[in-house]
Amino acid sequence: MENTQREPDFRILIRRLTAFALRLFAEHGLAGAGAVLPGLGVSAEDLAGKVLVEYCEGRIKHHSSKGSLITLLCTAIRNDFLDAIDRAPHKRERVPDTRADDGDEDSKERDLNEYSNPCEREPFVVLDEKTYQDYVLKSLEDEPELKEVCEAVFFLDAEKPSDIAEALGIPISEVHNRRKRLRRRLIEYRLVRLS
Amino acid sequence: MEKKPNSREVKNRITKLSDRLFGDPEEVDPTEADELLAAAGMDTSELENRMYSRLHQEAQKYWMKQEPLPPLLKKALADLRPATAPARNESELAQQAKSSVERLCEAAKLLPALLQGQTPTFATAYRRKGELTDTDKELIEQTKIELQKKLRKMGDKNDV
Repeated sequence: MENTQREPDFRILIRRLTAFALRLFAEHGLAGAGAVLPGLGVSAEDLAGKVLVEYCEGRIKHHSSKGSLITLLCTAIRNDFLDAIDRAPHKRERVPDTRADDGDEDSKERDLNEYSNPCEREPFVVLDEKTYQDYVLKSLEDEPELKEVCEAVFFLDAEKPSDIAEALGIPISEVHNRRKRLRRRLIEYRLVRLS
Repeated sequence: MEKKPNSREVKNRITKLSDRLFGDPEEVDPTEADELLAAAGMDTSELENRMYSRLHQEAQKYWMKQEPLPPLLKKALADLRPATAPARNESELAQQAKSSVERLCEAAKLLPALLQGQTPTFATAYRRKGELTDTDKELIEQTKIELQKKLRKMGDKNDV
């Protein structure tokens, strides 16, 4: 059966895709419009642009029966981002090792995951779940309302806005409002901050 | 013993957490997307221009091979075509004219804010210099008062 659907407004689409790509970057400690993946030089805009081209050329196909276009394209951006992280030459790097006690071993190779304090790392690491939670909660000390939402997600396993609303005893519209504030805080690089 | 999750599993878990915290991409409407881009220091019209260049480059591959553009690529190029590009037909020309007038109107709305509470002074200029009659002077005075009233009104609206 022919799948007829409305063509998108590309001016709006590209803004929403780029905003999503910026969110991914910010979540991994890469802030601002000019941030690039170390070693690859790929920016949030590059990722959004690549996916847009693939969609325009028909390499990514959208069927409305399988969800919205924006969700499909943002998933593609996220997959590209995660693949890029795997390719990025960041996992092992030469850094001064303060634990070195003899010889000229002031530049030992250390795996980034060996650092006991994640803030010692370069601002681009693959976080584990616990570290991610710690960062988020610590950075929200001054925002109890937003912290509540995060605690509901992390510790009460609240999945949907209705779950969060029920756990906190607030209306769903308030959950959406707080999420919006969280997104803004993230993009302003005030949430998952590694250094 | 619990198996240590591999890197992909960790990423999937964080992705889930991220969506629960920040919501589905669908939740971000165009207005919010613009706000987020601005917060990250990105100019949306410059972003559109860069995307247009990127897509134009892709389109050139088709033009070189004398192949038709995929319909979505054609639509994207039309949507993102910079306003400064020369108009190719009457409807584009009309659109460009409309945008120019809109920009002028937006700029005019900023006038009261620029005055910052000061009373503006008006000057007169004529094509044919000569003695002003009393009727002329009265007409000029009336126009001056009307303009001052209009500016005050615009200023009040902006304050609300």
